[in-house]
Amino acid sequence: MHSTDADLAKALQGILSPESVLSGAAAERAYDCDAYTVDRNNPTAVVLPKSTEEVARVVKWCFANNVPFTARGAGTGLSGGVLPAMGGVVISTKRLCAILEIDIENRCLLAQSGIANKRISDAVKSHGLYFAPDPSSQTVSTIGGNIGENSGGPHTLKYGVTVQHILGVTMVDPTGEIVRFGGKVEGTPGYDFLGLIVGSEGTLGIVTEAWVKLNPIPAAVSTALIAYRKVSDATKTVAEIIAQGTIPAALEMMDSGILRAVKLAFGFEYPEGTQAMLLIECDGEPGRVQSEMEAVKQVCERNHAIEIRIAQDETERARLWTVRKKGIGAMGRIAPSIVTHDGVIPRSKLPEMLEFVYAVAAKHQIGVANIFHAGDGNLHPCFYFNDRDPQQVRNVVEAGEEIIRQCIALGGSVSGEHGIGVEKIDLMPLMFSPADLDLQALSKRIFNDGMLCNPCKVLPNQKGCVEYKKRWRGTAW
Amino acid sequence: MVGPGFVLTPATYQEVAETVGTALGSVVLVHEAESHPFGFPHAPTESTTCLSLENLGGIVEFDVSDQVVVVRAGTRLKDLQEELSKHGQCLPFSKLSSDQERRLAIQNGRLTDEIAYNMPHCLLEPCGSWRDWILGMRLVQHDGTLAKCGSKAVKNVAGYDVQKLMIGARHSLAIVIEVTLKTYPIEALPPSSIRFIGTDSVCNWIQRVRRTDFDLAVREAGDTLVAYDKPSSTFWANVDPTSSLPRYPDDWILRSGTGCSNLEFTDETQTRFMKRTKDLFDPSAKLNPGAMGIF
Repeated sequence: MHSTDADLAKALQGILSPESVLSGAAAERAYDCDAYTVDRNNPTAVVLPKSTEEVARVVKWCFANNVPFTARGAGTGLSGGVLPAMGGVVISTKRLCAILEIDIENRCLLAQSGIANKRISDAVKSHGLYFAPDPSSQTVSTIGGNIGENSGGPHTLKYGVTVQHILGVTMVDPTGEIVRFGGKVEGTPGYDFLGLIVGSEGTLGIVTEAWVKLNPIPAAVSTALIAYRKVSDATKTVAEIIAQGTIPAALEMMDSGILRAVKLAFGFEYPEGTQAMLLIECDGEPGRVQSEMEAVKQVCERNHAIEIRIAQDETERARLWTVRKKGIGAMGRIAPSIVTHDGVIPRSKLPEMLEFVYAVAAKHQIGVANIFHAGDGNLHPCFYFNDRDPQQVRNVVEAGEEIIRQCIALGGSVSGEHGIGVEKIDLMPLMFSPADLDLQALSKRIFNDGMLCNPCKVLPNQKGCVEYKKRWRGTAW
Repeated sequence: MVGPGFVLTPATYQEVAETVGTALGSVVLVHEAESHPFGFPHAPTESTTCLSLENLGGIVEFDVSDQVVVVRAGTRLKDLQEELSKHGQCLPFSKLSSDQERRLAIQNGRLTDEIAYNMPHCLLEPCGSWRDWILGMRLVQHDGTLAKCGSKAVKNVAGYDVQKLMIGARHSLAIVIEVTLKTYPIEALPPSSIRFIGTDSVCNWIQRVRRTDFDLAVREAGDTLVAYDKPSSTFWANVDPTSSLPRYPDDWILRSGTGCSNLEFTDETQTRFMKRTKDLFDPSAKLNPGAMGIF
């Protein structure tokens, strides 16, 4: 390790240009956490490379000098996945933001990993194509971050998560070697390394470029916002829609906490007494969309919907989506901090699980609002609180753990799309036995046999992380 | 008892684990037919443990409202499909006649083999493949350790997706003994786009190319063509084992009847990491030796 932070920054300036290296108090503060603000740790330096080769140079140097490094996209992650857990170098992909090739005929696009998700769809919209994964952060979150977390979004119910839309990657492995997997044709025989890399939270290497699949924009779309007086009526609607064989493009739910925030922030009006709303979207061929939406409406009516608003044009559709897409942001009107959890349950368990969430929040005396991917059973309870009050922070962490434990007890998972990061690392043994975790550790060793590349993430009890953990958990405990 | 001619048929997960863990030589999964038509297993020796999961079948649990089924990996695909269909669900394979299945060399395999060989199918483009349907797995490692990966949740990013490594791995990394699958409503199944050519020939060559190369590739296949599926740019052909069809950038092929050339790995990075993976997951090279053609 270099004797001082200044030495390290200076050494990195010798590898990249000086304006590509940041250090000092401002850099430490800006890069000490992602959107999961409970845990924080300072990096020693931050680098902003512009090419795969520059990333490889930095990683090679880190490897040779035993310096930990962590890749970071837009920092919108919600589980501390880009927290520099052992300090060292944060490798930001924000200057890796070019589209390198668009191949309309083969419906694919090659981009650097720091490009914002939505920019990909914007680039090919005029050709009638788009990139399907649409996390709520898609206007800023990067494709590299989406690959790291295997991000989902409202439309994954029908179109799948990020892994289903990545054809190939260029990656700098933990030793600094540039490797490539996949390409323009799907399903190459052999071990599925691409499937392992996507969702590995940047612990197997740094993805610098990706071939993504482009889908045709659906010929027709119908979007409805449905209001209910009882949360249980909304959750029953979700289970019935799926059970009858309809697969909507999106099936989202918001409770009264979210609706209140959206009303405050955007003036969104909804019927008096509404306790929950569903946003349901069907897309595809016009005739099929119409019949699917008709079937959906019937289920909603059977379950006592008090209002069914169907968008009549694109402007109204965008307005209806505001409730879902801007819901979490609107929570800023209610409290200075929020922590959004991400447990998954079988969707038939939604009614009992939501009751459990409300009971846990009441027990810990914290506020909670729910906005989530109901069709996937992917919950997002948002606890709102003041993160400068250590007691409130403790309550939030404990409440979150109770909810995750219940998700697992109901046959679900600790994370549907936000990843493990550092946030849920201690909860992994609830879901996996030591043998299961050893198997995962084996798969990590295919690419990363050391402790330098995004250390102390995903797998619990990694050697050398205990001491560092005391530092990053400092804000809560 | 081990060696050629003797097939062990464990009936529990623990029995599979003990069989694999105590095997001194190699462990080979056997099929009812001599081998998978697109595989090329080494001939068993005196020390080979031949294993069949024929006694490890049946659904463990199925909840139609969650569209998730947990099933033992010795279950035949058709038996599973039949059981799911009683509830309006399926795995989204295209419905083919028995003659069409014969021409595509499709066997009524057990799930463990279907996953291990991961053969292309006719609804790939609209409905995905095993990679998209498998939510979790239980498996037996080379030393007999039982482990699971994934979960029953339809969306899950907890930990590394080890199950994806097993798909198409031809039993060379572990033995898959239970699978958790996402099911699909039969009512929502799109029509198949596969087109058959001629009436008799059986495929021994599968090729996938870029969309832009597809029309040319199909034309060049000429009389050898058995079937094609334009949306996934895949075609099936009957090619003399001593010859080859034209190749295109980024394409891949699977062959039958050409030994170690059935699988072709030309990418140095892919090959290197496959060897490293095999060393980590099966350090004594016990599991289905030779199955991948490169180790």
